[in-house]
Amino acid sequence: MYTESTSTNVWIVLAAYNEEKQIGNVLREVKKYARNIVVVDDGSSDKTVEIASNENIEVLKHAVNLGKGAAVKTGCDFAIERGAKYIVLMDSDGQHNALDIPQFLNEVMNNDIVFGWRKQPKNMPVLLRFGNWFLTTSVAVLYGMKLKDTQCGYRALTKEAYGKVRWSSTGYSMESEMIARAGKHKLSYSEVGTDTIYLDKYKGTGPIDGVKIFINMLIWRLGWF
Amino acid sequence: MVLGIQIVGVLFALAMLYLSFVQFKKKNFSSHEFIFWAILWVIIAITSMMPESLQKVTSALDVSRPFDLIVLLGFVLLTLLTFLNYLQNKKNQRKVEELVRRIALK
Repeated sequence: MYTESTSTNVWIVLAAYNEEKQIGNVLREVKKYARNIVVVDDGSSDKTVEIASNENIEVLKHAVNLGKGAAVKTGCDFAIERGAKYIVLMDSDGQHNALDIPQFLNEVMNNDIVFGWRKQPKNMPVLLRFGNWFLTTSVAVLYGMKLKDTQCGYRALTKEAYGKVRWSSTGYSMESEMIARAGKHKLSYSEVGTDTIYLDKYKGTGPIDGVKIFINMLIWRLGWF
Repeated sequence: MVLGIQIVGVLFALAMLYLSFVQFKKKNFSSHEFIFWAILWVIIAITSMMPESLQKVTSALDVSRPFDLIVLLGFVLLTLLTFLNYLQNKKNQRKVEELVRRIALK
C-alpha cells in the first residue's frame, strides 16, 4: 500500500518539449502527490525550463531534442541514481491526471509494471481508434500481453523492472519497446484506467509512427534487440 | 565518333574529380580517400570515352553491353554507399544521444 512513508522512494519522471503553457500547472498538481519529481527538458526552445525550475523540483536539460524515449530514459536513470524504488512516468502536456498517481503506486507495489489506459471518448477519430486497436491486437499476438492501450505514456514501474525494460528507442516507440521487453522478461503487470484531458494540440503517435512501431515490434519479437 | 552521352560521362567524372580534390584540400578527405575517389572518377572517364575497353570484362561476366555493366556497377556501389551511410548515421546518432544524456545527468 502506498503511504507517506513510502513516498521517499517514489520518483515522478516527466519529459517535456515546448510545454511552457502546461508544465507549471502539471507540476503543481503532481507535487500534491509526490515529493520527488524530475523534469527532463528535451531541447525546448520556449520557457519550459524556466517555468519548471521555479517549481523547486529537479530539472535536467537535453542540449538538443532527442525524442521522448531518450528524455524519459535520462529521467529514469537520474531517479535510480537518487535511490528510486518506484518510478511513475507521465506526460507533461497535462493530459494525465495527477489524481491517479496513488492508484498507480498502489498497483506497482504488487506488480513489476503498471500500464495506464486512456478511457476513450466516443468522438475519437476513426483512424486513431483503428490504430489503437491494431497495435493492441499486435501486442496480444506477438507478446501475449492483453493490454487495453499500448500507447498511453502514463505508467509506473519498479527499479528492478526498469533494469529489464530499459529501452533503446529514442522516440515514441519507447512505449512499445517497454511492452516488448516486459513480455520477453515475463514481468507481472496490471492496468489503471485514466481520464485523458486533451488541453493542447495532439503531439503523440501519428499514422507513420504507428507503422514504425508495428515494424519495430516485429523486429523485437524476432529477438533483434 | 564520340557520342553526346560519352561527353556527359567524361564531364561528370572530371567535375567529381575536382570536387574530390577540393574536399581533399579542405582536409575532409584523407590522402587514401582522395586516391580511392580519384581512381574511381578516372575509370569512369576512361570507360565513358572507350566503352570497348570493358569488352573483356563484360564477356567474362556474361553481360551483353559495357553500358549495362556500368549501370550494374553503379547500383552495387550505390547500395554499398547507402549501407555505409546508414551505419555511420546510426553510430553518430548514438554518440549524440550519449553525449546529450551525459551532459544532462552531470
